[in-house]
Amino acid sequence: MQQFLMSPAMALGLILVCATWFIYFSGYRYGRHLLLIVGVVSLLVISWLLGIHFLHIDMSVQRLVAPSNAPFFLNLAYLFVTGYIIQILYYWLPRTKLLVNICLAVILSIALLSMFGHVYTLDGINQEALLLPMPFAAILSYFFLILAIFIHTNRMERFYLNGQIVLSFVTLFLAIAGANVVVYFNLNHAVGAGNSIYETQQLLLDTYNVNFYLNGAQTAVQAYQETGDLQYITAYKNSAQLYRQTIVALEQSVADNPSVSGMQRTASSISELGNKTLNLMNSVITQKQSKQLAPHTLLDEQVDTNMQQLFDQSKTLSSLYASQLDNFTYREYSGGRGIVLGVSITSTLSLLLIIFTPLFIRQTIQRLSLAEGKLRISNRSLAEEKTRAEAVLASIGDGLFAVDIHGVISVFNKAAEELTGLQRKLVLGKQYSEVLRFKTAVDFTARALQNSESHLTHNAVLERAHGQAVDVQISASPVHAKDGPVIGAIVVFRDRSSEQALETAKDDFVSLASHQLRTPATATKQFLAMFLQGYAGHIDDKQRFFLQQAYDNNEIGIKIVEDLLNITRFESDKLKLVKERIELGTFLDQSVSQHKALAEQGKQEIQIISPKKRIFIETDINLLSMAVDNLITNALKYSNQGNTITIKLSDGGHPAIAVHDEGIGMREEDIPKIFGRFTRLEDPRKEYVSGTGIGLYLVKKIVKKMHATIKVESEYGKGSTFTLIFKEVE
Amino acid sequence: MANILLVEDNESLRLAYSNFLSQEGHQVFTASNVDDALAYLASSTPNIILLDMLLPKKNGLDLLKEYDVINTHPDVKVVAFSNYTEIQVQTEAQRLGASLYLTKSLTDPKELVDTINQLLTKE
Repeated sequence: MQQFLMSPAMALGLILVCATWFIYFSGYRYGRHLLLIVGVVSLLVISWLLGIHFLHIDMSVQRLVAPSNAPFFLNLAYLFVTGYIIQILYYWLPRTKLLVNICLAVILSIALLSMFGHVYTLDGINQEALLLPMPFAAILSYFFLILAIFIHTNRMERFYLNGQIVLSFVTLFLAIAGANVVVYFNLNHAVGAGNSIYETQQLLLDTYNVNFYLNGAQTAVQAYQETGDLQYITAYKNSAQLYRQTIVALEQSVADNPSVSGMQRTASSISELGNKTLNLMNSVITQKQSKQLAPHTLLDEQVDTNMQQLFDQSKTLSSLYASQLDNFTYREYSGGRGIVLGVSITSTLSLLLIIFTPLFIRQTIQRLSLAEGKLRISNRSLAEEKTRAEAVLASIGDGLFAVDIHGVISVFNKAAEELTGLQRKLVLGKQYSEVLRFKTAVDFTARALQNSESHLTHNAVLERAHGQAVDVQISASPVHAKDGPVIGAIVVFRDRSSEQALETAKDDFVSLASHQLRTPATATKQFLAMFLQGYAGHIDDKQRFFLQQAYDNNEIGIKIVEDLLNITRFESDKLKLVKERIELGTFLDQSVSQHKALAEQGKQEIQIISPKKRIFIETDINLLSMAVDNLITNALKYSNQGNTITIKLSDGGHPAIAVHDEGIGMREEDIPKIFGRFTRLEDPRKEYVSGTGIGLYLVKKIVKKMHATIKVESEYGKGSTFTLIFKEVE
Repeated sequence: MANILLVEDNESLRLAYSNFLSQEGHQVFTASNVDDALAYLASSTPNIILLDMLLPKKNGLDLLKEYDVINTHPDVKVVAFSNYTEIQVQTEAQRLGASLYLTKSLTDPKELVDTINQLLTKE
């Protein structure tokens, strides 16, 4: 335990884990520098582990002993487990607890398997090492990691992670497969070499034993010769027996190793010599028993010679063994190194992968989370924008619908639902012309889509879902894309019925009020005139002056009421254009006759110049007389006493009525102002001219309504000409 | 000197017109509505009817139709007299036999007297 705790590998592993953890919690604040330090430390640790690992196995092989299950491997396993668990916890704990638990359980069991696997594998070099639980465990745990990521990340993250994960997975798989192939071949190599070493050692021993037993037999024979004691015969027989057994085993072993050249032959000659020597020894014993032979006879000499030869042969065999043993030892050693290399590569890659993959994944997830966060924010603001736009559309009191370029309805607000009586869901996606019935002369939506006009407002009748008709004001505008082309149209329509009722009420009020005002004003006019015209007896000049003032002001009042009535009538839809064929000559005679009284007051003359040809136009006579009356009245008002007003009727291409006066005229810059509502030009010379400022405004409106035009020519101080130009009637 | 029937619903105007016309020597009979006017016309024939167009219940045009100025009383001169200035009404009045159409607010006593005198002179 102490050894485990004091292990530098464990210490460095813990430092590494702490550093990794710190990087996570610092939120990569120290960024690349710290990551670099951790990377370098990791590399050092791994190199160190690799070195120790290599050295350990190398020494074990050299000493021809199996590597021991040193605490180093336990440390290695613990390092993996600790780092892995911390990283997994950090990444997955905030997510689903159940899955984290499953991952942890799997990783823990794999770690245990890895530890015991190491112990088992390195207890002796054998084929079971191919199981190499650690790399397999790495693959399996990696699989679970990927599974966890796939379950917990959204499609976008998956897309980005896929590449990285697949690449890492393939790299790991190839490395492990490659390492295992290296280990497999080296293991076979080393195991074969180990067996050969063992057998060669056995052969060497047998060779020495052959000499040893023969020497024993010779010593027993010599002792018997000298003493004649029979116990030496028994000793000789035992040695001879052992020799025979050994030589059979030797011959068998050599026969089993035919690859070693010269060994077979040497072994055969040893066996031959040995058998010969034993035969000679048997002859010596037989002679001694029959007392025919003296010691140190020729026979003894022959035994000695044979023994010497046998010894030499054995030496030759030994040297052959020795060379073979060296060869086998080297083979086993290199095989062992191969195994170490394979295991080390696998371990290193697994370690690297285990340490750094979560780092990369973490970074990727952080980046994605950031992107996702931004996306969520922009999605949220988009959604808010959409909600706001929808709320705005819904809040619009007017009915609103939008169509795309094909006329398909894409927006239909609440007011539109209420106005049309159609449900939104039933009209969306349909052709507007199929579901919405607006009775108009022109299809404004189609026009807007054709972009023929940018903004159109018109009154229409909307046929509601249940057949009821409602007056609406409809306005259609094209919707342009950023670069200009029309991509749809937006149509706003509103119920005019209440507005119309209000308008009618207003008109009725103004009309009624004007009528009611006009009657007392008329009565006042009569009574004042009666004074002025002598029906009320004599009045003095002062009285006349005051009464004239009252009369004149009453006249202004009457004129205002008249104008108000006209404008109300004109602005209300009640005023319908009733066209009739009008002969302008006769018309002008009548108009002028109505102004004679006023002209006489100012000692002015109205002159009509008309061609012989009768000129006809087709228009509303009320409107025409309103316009002409206004022009004549103005001409009279703004002329001086004794001036002539000339009304010229002409037909130069288009029928025209020109009202010319010799009055005060207008400045050029004032001309555009005169058609405004309640406009009166400031002119000190004509202060006394009464007016409401409505006259020319009305004329302009009338002219537009009649589809005619009006031309103004004026010279300051010299007079003005107002010309009405009409369309010709065939 | 003529007999004039003044059909006018406004009392002040009735008073004013009858006053200055009387001063000019005319015999003025007044009616405030069409029915009263018709009642008078049933027994008398004036030289001139000064007829307001806008009257309560029946209007001036109704009187022209019922009294049948054109066919039955061609000798009676009718002056259509109103503030109701639409040309269609004027035209209709003249079609139904009105000799003249005057706008009340634009006509002062002198003008009216002159107009009536001219009409009588024509006769």
